[in-house]
Amino acid sequence: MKSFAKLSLAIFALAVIAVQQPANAAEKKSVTFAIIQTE
Amino acid sequence: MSVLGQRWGKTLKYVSKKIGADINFYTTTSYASVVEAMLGGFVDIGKLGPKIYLVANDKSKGQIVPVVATARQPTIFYPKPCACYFGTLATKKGSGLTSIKSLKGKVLALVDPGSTSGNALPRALFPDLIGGKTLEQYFGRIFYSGSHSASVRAVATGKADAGFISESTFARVIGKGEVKKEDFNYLWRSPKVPIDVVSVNKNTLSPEMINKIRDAFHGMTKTDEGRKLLKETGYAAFTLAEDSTFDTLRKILEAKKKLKKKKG
Repeated sequence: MKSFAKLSLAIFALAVIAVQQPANAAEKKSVTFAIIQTE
Repeated sequence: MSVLGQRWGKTLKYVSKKIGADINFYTTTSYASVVEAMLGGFVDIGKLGPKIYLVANDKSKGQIVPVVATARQPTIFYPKPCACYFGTLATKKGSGLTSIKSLKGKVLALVDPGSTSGNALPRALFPDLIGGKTLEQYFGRIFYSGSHSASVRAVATGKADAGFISESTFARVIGKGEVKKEDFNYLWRSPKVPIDVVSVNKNTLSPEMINKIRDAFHGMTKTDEGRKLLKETGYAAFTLAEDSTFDTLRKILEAKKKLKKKKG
């Protein structure tokens, strides 16, 4: 994976981890939805 | 708020109410980051383009699956909302080229070597109709026009005898008034090729939640609020989607991979 993609992934994953609530699959009170901006 | 945020914000609020869970919404320009984040369990739902969906499904060993697809508005070629596109093989009306047989040895316009619909698709699917021959073996000369609209023009002006063209672009060129639908013969239509899908992560979501997500999107055409929101996103509907819808695309991409290997 190219370095810019790795950096992008790291930032994205950190942002997600920061807001994600620890919950198991059956008890999720929030879900994360991602869209790739292609336009 | 980003353009995508404006476009999707209200719809996701609606879906959030239906599924009984908050939705944290992210946009990114990196294909790799969304797939990796889904594989890592950080992202539950992703709206993915068809090719990137196949990567996600493959890398997750079938744990990232589609639930609904974003259906486009009907076109003059396909009167129903469809989360798909078709390729068509067109010739100019009056040219006498009215059958696939009549095209043997003629000049063919493809779009671009890197185009899925305008190159890989006909190379993957058309040989079945010409006795297993390659396009080069069947047609007299092949050239790349540069775009789908350029292929429409090439056929219309006689620069090419025939062209493999995406129907949605064909419809747009017709919509602009450059050509008329009845100016052409349509000799072949490809099977449906899927477009974007909303995919879910089976590693992080329960089957119940996945069903709720599917029903929330799919049911939007059935409520006033849902229909209003669909207008805002620009889609005709969220139609049900499953992995097998992508088999045609798998075949096309396999052909594309072979083309690359040949070049290299």
